Amino acid sequence: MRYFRKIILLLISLPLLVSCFEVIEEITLHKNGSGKISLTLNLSQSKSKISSIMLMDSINGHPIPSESDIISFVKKTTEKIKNTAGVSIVKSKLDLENYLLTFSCEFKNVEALNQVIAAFGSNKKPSKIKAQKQFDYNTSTQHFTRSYHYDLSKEFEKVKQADKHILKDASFTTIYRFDQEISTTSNPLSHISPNKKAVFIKVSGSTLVSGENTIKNNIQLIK
Amino acid sequence: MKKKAPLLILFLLATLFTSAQSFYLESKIPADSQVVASINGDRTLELLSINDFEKSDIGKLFLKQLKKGNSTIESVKDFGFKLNSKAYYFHQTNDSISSHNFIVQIANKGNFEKQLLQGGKKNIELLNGTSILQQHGTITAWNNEILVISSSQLSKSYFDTNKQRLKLQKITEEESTWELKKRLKTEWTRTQTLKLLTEKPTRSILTNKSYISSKNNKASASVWVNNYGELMNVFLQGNLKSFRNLGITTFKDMYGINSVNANLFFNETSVELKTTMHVNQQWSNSFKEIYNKKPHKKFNKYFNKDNTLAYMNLTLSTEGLLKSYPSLIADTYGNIIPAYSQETKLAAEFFNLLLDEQAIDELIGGDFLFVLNDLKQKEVSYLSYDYDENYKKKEVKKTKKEFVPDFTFMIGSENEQFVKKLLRIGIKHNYVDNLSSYYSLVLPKKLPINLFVGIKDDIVFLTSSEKQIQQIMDGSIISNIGKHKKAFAKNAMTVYINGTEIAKRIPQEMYRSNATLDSFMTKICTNNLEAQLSTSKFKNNKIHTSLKINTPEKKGNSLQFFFNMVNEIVSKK
Repeated sequence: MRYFRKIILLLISLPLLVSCFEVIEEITLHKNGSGKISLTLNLSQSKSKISSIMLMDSINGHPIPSESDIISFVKKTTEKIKNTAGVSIVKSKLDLENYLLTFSCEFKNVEALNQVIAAFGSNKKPSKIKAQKQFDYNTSTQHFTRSYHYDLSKEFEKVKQADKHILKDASFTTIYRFDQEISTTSNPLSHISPNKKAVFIKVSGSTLVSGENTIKNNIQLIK
Repeated sequence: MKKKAPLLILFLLATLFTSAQSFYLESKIPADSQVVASINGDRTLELLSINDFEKSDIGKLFLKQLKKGNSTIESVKDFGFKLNSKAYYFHQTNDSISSHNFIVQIANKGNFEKQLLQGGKKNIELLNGTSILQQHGTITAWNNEILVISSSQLSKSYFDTNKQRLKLQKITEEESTWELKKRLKTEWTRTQTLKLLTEKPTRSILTNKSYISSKNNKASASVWVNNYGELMNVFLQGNLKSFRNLGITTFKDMYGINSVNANLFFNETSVELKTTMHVNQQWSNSFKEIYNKKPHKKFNKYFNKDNTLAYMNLTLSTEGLLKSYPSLIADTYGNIIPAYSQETKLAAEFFNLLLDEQAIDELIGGDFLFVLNDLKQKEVSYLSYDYDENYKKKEVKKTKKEFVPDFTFMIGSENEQFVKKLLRIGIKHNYVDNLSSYYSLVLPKKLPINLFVGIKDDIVFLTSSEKQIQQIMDGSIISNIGKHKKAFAKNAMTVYINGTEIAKRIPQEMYRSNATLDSFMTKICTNNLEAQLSTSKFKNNKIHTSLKINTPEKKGNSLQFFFNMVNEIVSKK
């Protein structure tokens, strides 16, 4: 019966070619380097397609995880973050009705924040994690850096045209909030809030992966 | 009548002359050619004149691009080729060498040579009225009437296994194997090319019955393959040494197909690609069993052409397929790996022993009809975020429109009881709901679709429309098979797509911003474009396939229609 449903659902999913999802990275950073991070993966806009393809084993040659695989991933990652030094109040919320996943936690310093980000990746070597740190914050100069180490443009060229569609309407949003006002930002896509304490960047998935746009940012805060 | 007679004679003479010219070129193609392809310039120019082409935006762009390369070309006629004649490609192969050859008629040798020399000075050799150009192993030779271009490839496997024979061909001890091979290849190609240009082969392709029967003078382009299995055999054996290490000695009978031919026709109201495959004797009995199935006539009762955007109809014998498939596989692998032929045959027999082919045939008879009735837009909700001025996010519910297909899938089955038992198990495990005369499948709520199942007239129906399943079960459904009756009855498989009706259902706002796409979609929406792919039943060891696209009437012919369509799109760019 499950096999039968898979065939039918493959037929249904064919016209639904365009898919969208959004990733939102929110960080509240205090003057002393401690703060809170919240990561959101929102696939709600593609829920019909995802519901269809989740009843299959693979699509375009990519294996499809089951609901239990997703639950297990969330549990394992949450546990991994909980065991990270300098991290507290770890929360995760998985809404499989809307395909919405949120992780949040508080961190003591940026080193702990980098460990939280590394928990989502496959890299296990501490030296590599340290070398590829995504965030840096200097408490004395009040300089915050968001790095982005992945040059996926060449890989993106190799991706099948059908798969590129998936990134067409995808987006990556970063929101950083600070105790003090922002003096300068390096990324031209930065939008600074009227109270000058928050900076917002939204880039499309395809321009991020192709290297056309970036989420990298050097933020100088007023001392 | 008397006045018309000289005109008629003149016309007949002109036709005879044109045919004789084309036969003249064709008679130069050797009888042992494995592939022959041709472009019928005469037929194509009848449908689309040089003048029309050159006046079009595509034509202007084409000539402009040519001029960029410092060419003096003002018209396609300046190439010097006889455009209203046939041009041929043929492929010859033997155990040690294979060659690709092009043969074209020349109208103006001076023009041709002028264009050839555009790229810089070339070393052209003159030999008894024949001009020869030798470049990178390719031989180009021509006289006042004909141009031949040939290039060859040595068989790697032949020279690997006959190293001693190769050594004997060395002129000097210093000549390396690479140089020797290159010299042999060039010498052979040159001899063959000159022979082709100056002599008539003792037996031309016109003595090949299979080739002659595949010919159609109304085709604008044609391809004929003498033996598909042999061609693949030469290609795979020559290139992949590793197959021999696996004990694979031949691929000849792997495909079960002898000759294949394809003809492309631009008719008045359709463009059609017709292919014919000749199946070999060994496979033909299996094909007969697989294709030995009468169409499910009751499908017609539930088909309405007025509610059909696309369909796929398949009629194969499940019993024949299950009986034949294991032995086909055993024969194939037994032939290509003879060392394991006994084992593969035993495995095939064991597979046949395990299955009750007749019982499976009763359950799934091999008749399938999938009908796409409609494409509807449905509003669906999703969660997203809005941000206040300080970028604090707030969860909001938004809506968007999604395409939802409305379809009906019919599967022929004589074992109603088994299907009902299966559905009862589905009910027990909450996969299925019983709704009096029909059933509904329990699907995730997030899916914008419902699925209903019904069993009637030896057919299992699966549809996304509750109204449709109700009408099927209470007998109130209206049928209208119309022009598709013949396709249902005669073909083993038919795929039909009504491009215009599908395009009409796509909202304009999805493509209006892109001028090229907008122009393309407008063309499709305003002309009645339908495509049909059909495969015949197996008869006289042959399978015929046809891919046909209907074009509107009063738009010249189909070549003109498609040319104008592309031209308009190019003009918008």
